Amino acid sequence: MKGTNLGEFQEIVMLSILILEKNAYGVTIQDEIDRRMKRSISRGALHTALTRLEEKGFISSDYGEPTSERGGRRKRFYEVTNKGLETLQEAKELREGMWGLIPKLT
Amino acid sequence: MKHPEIPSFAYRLFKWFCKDPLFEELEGDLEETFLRNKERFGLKKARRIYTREILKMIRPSVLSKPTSGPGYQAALLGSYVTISIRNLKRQKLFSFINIFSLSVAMSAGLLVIGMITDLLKFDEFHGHKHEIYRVISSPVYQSRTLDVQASSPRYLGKEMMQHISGIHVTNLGRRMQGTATANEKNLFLKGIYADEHFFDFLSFELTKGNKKTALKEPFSVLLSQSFVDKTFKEEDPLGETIDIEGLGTFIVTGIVADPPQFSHLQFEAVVSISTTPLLANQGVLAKSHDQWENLDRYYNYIYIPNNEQKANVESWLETTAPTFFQDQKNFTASFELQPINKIVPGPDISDSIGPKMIYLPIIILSVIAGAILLSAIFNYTNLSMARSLRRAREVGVRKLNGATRSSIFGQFTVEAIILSLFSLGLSIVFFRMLRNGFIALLPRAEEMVRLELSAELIGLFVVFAILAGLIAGLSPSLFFARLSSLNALRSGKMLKTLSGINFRKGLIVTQFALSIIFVMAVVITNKQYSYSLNKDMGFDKSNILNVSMQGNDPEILRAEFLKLPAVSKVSFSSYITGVGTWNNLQLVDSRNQDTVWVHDLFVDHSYLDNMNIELLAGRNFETGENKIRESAILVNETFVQNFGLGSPSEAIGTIFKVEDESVEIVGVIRDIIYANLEEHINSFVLRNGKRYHYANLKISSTDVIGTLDKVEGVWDSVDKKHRFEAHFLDQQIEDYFKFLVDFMKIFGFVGFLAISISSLGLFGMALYATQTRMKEIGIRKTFGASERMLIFLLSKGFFKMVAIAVLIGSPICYFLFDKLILAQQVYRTEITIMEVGGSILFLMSLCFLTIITQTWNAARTNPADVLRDE
Repeated sequence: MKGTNLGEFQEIVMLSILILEKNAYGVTIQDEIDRRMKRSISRGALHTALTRLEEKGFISSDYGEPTSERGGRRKRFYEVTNKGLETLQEAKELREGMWGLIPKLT
Repeated sequence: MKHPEIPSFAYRLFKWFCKDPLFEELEGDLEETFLRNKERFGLKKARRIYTREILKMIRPSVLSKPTSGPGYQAALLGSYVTISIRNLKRQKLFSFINIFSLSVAMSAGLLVIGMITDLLKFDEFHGHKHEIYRVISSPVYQSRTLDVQASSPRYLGKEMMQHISGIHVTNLGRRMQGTATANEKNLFLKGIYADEHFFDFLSFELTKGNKKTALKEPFSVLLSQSFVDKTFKEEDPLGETIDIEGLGTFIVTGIVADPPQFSHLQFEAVVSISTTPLLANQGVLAKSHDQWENLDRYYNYIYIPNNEQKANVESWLETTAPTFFQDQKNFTASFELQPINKIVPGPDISDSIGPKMIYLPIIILSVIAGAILLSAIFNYTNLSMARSLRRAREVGVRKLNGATRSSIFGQFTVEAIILSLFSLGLSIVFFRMLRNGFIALLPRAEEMVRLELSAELIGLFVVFAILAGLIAGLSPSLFFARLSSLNALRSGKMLKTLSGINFRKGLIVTQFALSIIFVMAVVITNKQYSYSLNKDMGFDKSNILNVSMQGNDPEILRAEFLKLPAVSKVSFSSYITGVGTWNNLQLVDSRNQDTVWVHDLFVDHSYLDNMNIELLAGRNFETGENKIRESAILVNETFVQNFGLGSPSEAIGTIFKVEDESVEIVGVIRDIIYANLEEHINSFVLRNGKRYHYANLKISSTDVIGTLDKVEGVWDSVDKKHRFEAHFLDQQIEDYFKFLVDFMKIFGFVGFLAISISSLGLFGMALYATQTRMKEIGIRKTFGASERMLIFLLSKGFFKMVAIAVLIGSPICYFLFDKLILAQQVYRTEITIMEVGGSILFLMSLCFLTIITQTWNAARTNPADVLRDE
């Protein structure tokens, strides 16, 4: 298996999808990441991450209705699956647990 | 659709490399971003960003998977193979016809490939093969160039070495043969003469003895391993002596490994060439054997290291060498270098030292094999096209399901290759069956060609089969790949679009033209063969047993043989007549001292009676009259005419000079065909008294085998040393004309192939034509056409084609035989209407049978069956 661990960028992408709720498609996810991370990512890089996540079963996708705004091309909306949520939770707990173990600086 | 402001190059690039299912999403997103960027940064920057984004899209997850790559190809190939085998199984008749005809044709190709690969191996074992040459000579006699000879003057190499440094020469000689007595065993020994440089650069292996000195002293001999195995066996032969009859006693100075099979130099023994001057002193060799004018018998092999001195050697041969001839105006020669690995196969050179194979038969065989194979390949094409009716639907469905042109092309190509590989399997079986017959067809090929199936050869065959399959599959594959699925599914219509009808008709005509040529060739050759055997040669051929005398005294043999009741007469001759042998004799006409060349034969006094040769004038030889001094000769009619001696009886008493003796014509005989049917009868002299080599026994018993046994018994009591060798004259003459039988075999085999292949082709065409015309036939039948009329209608076109083929082929064959092949024979049969007509009738009836099977069925179908769908 390619493994089910989550890369940092992939985690950000999943979190962005969760933030965007029903409106998570390529352009919005890209904007969200841009805004939060102050870092410009290419659509291609995002595509790679989305493909990986979908392969791992962390997200799922569906085409929306065609609209006139982009030459009639449909948008592809992404959603985080339950498995994806669980993995995110685990990652979060792992970090929090580790943060808690750090001796307080006096 | 693309937004007009988006850079179109980037867009097209993206469309090209992007996976189809991703394109809609990604391009949509990029366009949305582009439009926003345009508002934010202006058009120019937005376009730049768009292009950059596209370039960043070039990543594995986006790129469309190419429809190639090793894994993909393997999977595709697997599916092609499965489907091909299913198709072959489904149409058993079609597959069988194709596999059979292709494998028969391929076996001819395999034989030729096998032969050529064997021949190309010749003399490749010499370490310096690219630097070793043989000097060949073209003698010029009174400014007339004679045949090129493999031999050259004895001391040419020696002279050359004195003028050019840094080259090596070895001097060889042929015709070292005789019955050898070694270790108390008698065996026939055949070998060569060679000097002490023999092992310097030729890669023969001396297993025992000294390379430098073994061939130095006169009367030294090296024995081959196989000869040692037969005579000395385990004993060490070094230092022992052997006797070679007619040559003398030799001391064994070494053992040489048997020459490789693929060597043009073959020998059982090598005798030191320094023996030859002593043999000449003893009278075994002519005194002139080592003169420059004497070009036979000796060979010079030159090793030119790195070919550095090659130009020098060539210019020496051109300018200096001819100056050694004493009388250059009368007799000279030009010399050339022949690379050692170009000797076999090589140009036609006389006086060769070993087996030779000239280019011509190889080329002829290759062309014939190629023509047969092409014929079979075209047939495959033809039959595949004819069946396109059925296959077109399959192709149509495949195309509708998304098969691309290349995959249809691949499918049909793989099918052809698989068929071709199946044929290869069968043709290797044929190859093994035909191998020995094929070797026997070619003169002396059994010494040169093995046709053993090596891994290398089989690899070559597989490549050959794949190539054949590719060629065979090309045309149908292209046709089906191009077929539009719409046409493919509208079956009736698409067949009209089948192109190349004229081309295929042309093929059929060509095939049948070739067939008629081969059929006629067999018929005509057969006629010439029976003509040759039955031709009255002027002497009696039957019941004559020729026994090789092998040096025994004629009178003792005569006395002993006549003791047998089955032997009624015994005579002697110097050679056997009618089997292509003759002997040249220089005669001096005593009237004007002119020297003339004639042919002679030595016979004893009972020869004329024994052979039933008619004496026209004068008398026969008398017993013992030429014993001490030759004084009487007999001549033939042609002699009398050529010398202008008037009538036969007027010629009696004319004096000629033969070998410094004056001889008188005492009798004139009727012309006999003493040489063969290819040669004109020349002035012919019968001489008497000596040089007999054969005893001619007239056998009066009908028990051939019993008589032979008795004659052999007598022989064994007279000569304990030599093996009994005897043949019946009529059998010998039959053997002499065996080449005609060989011709018939080749023509017959090729003809059989040509006929079967072209008949299959015709069958395919007929099948195709009737199937496409079924509806027409139905309508005609409904309107009252009779079956006979329909058969005529359907067959007419094919007969026209065959008739054209006959009109083309038969004059070609007639011309070929009348003006070229039979024209070489002085005594030949005439080609009559019987042979031409018979061949045509045979071929026509075969075609009739082929066509009628199809048209008969078509004409008999119920019109309701074919017209029901309309």
